[in-house]
Amino acid sequence: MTSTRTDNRPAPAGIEIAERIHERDARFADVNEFLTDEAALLDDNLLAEWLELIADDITYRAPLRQTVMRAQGNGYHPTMGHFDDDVHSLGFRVHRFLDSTNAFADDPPSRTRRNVSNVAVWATSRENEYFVRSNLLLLRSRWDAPAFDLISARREDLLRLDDGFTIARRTIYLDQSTLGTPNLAVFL
Amino acid sequence: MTMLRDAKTGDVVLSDGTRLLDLIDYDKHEVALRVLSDPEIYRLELDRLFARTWIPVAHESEIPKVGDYVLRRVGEDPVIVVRQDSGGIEVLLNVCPHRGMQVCRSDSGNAPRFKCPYHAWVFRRDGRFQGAPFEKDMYGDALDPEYLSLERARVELLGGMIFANFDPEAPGLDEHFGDFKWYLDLILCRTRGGYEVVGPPQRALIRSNWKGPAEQGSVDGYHGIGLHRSFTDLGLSPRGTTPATAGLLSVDISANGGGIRCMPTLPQFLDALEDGRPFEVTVDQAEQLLADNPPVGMTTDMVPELRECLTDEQVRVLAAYYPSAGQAFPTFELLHINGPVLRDPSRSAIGDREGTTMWAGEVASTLVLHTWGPRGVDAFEIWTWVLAERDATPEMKEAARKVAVQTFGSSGTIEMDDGEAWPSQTAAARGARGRRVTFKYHAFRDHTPPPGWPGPGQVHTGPTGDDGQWQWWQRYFRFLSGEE
Repeated sequence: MTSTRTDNRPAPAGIEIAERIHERDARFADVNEFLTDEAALLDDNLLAEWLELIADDITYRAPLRQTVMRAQGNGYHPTMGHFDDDVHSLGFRVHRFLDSTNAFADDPPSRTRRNVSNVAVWATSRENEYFVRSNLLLLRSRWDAPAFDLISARREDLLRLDDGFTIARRTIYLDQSTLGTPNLAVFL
Repeated sequence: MTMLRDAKTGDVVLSDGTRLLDLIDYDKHEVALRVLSDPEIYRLELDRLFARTWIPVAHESEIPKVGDYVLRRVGEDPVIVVRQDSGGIEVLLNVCPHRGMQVCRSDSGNAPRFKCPYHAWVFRRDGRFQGAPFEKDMYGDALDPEYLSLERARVELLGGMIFANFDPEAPGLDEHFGDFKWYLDLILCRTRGGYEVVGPPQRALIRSNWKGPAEQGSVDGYHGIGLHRSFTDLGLSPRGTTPATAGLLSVDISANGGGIRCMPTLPQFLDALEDGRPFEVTVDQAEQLLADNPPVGMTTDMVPELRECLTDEQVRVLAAYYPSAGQAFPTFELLHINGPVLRDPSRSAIGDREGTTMWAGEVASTLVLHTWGPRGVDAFEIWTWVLAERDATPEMKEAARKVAVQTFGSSGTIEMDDGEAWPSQTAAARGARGRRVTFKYHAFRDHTPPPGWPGPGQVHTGPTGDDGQWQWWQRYFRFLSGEE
């Protein structure tokens, strides 16, 4: 088994990969369990508890994607996005739902089911920091419509392990160039 | 679909016998919700409005180099917006004249020419037919390049924003905007450098008729106290008990179906509105006010450019009342604001509201532009551009992007609530009773400018009213009935 990244993308800026952590490694199980638990917090609308997983220095972004020809690359824009957040704005988003009964975009709340899969983990050159890729398929049921809004994305996270894991960076690479859900009132 | 016309009056009659103009009640100032759900009306809109008026498609900073292009829509028609060898811009119908396939299939890029994938017909950057494979063998000398070119829309720019119009007979962009242009200039044409986009536009599909946001855009200054109440709950916007402290007082403008709110720049100008005082700012005073308190999105260094780019009257207005949220007819919305920098209330006190800013605490300047692209009678695509002055600092540009993304657009904590109202209206309009419910415009201020107001258009003072939205509908029905 090799211990290099298996895709052809370079590691994101500011992250130096040390080694691949394979599925049989106990550290992989810890990361995977964290992602499962995190998704459960969001699906259960435990937003204050979710906020505790957010590191103070988080950057939380969802780059804008354009539909482009194969030869033009993947179409993601380096700066413009659908999310462009830090710990303060994420906190505001959470408290808008917790402290106000007038946050109509997701009240009544959509029912969500986050399916996190295809997890891949790398140790970075910094102790207790892990670079993690995962797929997210979010099924979102809004109002009384039987059809789901789907949000599909690949996520790249930087997780930090102290007492438990915190999310120090999350980049959400959405698959749609035109979103098929009217808003991103849900966390990805 | 056959559109009936009354033999005597020539009025448009829908297939159930309802006259189109019965859906607007000019005496009561009401419009039936049916306009949001009727497929016959939708068909009329594509033909009589979107194919005959000026639709914003792109900002020129998206396509700076020769051959740069972006794909957009005019109504439901796909178009290519492309920079020409001459530096000019063409808007081409992205439909192959041969068999109808889209000749360009990438949202953006740079191309020397456009080749249709289907039979490899080639078109130049200006849309002109260049050639087809085995042209002589297939067609002899029969091909007429002019006849086979991609259809070109008329193109005009305002402040770098590119507008397209497929009607050769329509009036030009300036005439279309009329008096409203005077106020658009205050946002878009105030500096030498002008604006640039911070990236491509956001896009999302919303299951609402496009007129949900269009009706709101021209301009509903009243809904913030309801739909955006969460910002008050979190201490970010005022919990006012009077129109002045609730953010309802502004100088509202309506002209040519557009509406925009001019907000006081300083407390003294809010007081002047509350007290009904005349507008008395001189040019000299305006220069000093602007130097001390630069307009949204400008640095102090840029302020002298205002005198070069705008008239004395425009500078006087800008110093006291800056155009903020509004829409030019039919679908060009502008949100020119100092928006709230979001703070986690559990981590830091948000701070006291000061002066006349709508928001407590730190703000950041941004310019958000929207258009509403129809996608069938019950859906539209919302396009969100974020712009900053080209000569603004990199920090200002980044702040403009962040505040726009966090408060407007797809994840915007303000605008996502608007996206709840619009689909709800459209769903209501499907019902036998619901479609008879009317939009009601009963809060009129009429032409009541502060004495001495130097700007054109219908000028309304008092709490923000319904004048602009009502005028939007009047112009809409003029287009649909064929009067305009």
